[in-house]
Amino acid sequence: MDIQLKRGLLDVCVLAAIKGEASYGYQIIKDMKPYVELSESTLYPILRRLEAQELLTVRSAEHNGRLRKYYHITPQGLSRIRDFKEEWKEMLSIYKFVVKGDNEYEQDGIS
Amino acid sequence: MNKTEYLDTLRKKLDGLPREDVLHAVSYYAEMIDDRIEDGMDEREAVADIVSPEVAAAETLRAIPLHKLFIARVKPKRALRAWEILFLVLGSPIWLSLLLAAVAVVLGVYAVLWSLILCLYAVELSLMAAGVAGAFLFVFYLADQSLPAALFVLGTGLVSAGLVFPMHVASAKATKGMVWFSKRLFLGMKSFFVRKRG
Repeated sequence: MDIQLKRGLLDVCVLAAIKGEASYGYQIIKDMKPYVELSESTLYPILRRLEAQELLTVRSAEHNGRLRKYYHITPQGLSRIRDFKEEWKEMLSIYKFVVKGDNEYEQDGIS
Repeated sequence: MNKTEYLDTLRKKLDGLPREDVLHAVSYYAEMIDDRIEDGMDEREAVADIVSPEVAAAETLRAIPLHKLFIARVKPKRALRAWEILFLVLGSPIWLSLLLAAVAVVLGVYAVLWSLILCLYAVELSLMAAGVAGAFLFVFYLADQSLPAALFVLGTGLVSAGLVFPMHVASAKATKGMVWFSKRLFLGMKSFFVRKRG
């Protein structure tokens, strides 16, 4: 997959992992695991990038006698997810056009 | 490797980077280990379960913009004394030209490499044009009843057209290689900031 596209997708995946409630690094990796394998070293630059873009904020909170960083989604982060959904609708319609006439399994897999 | 050894190795590998970035990365990986321990792993298992300190350091380096590394490196750690400022100003015709020359050399090498890639595509385009010209001239010479010349240009045209595909594959591979090289070069430049002060 194109690196830029994958990078953008992973950004949105991480935002989606924290959209319901604030989460921490290890939990984000575990939540994403059934859908996409992500190592902590891959997550690190993503979190820093999203923080720099103000799509999430970081707050430290005490947990079992140590500090743990919790990542909170910002209104801009939520807006990024909304934009992604809109863009993806267009992508899906392009995909459907591309696979039109191919075997049914492929079309079912995406619908 | 236990948690302390892991974090010490990581810290050493990040030595020379801005202090807050080192602290940020070390606390992130410490938290990753602690959360695994809390999840039921023992300390060594938790360390073995995460990426090596080398990979962690490389990714940390990738996350820091080059200009930030440069500023952190050249920013004086204390206020400059008057004679140091004077020395810097008086020496600027030398150090500034050397710095600019170094930047120009790097940019020059980079431009030459991309020019080579551009040349490959130019050759590909020429081969394509030769193929088309061969077919056109074949008809022309045939009409002129010069059979040997017609066969010659047809042969040349066919060979040229036949070379377009392998040439395209080679150009595409070279472009891919160049993109890979650019990324390595960029990371290598960042590594320079780690090693020199480490």
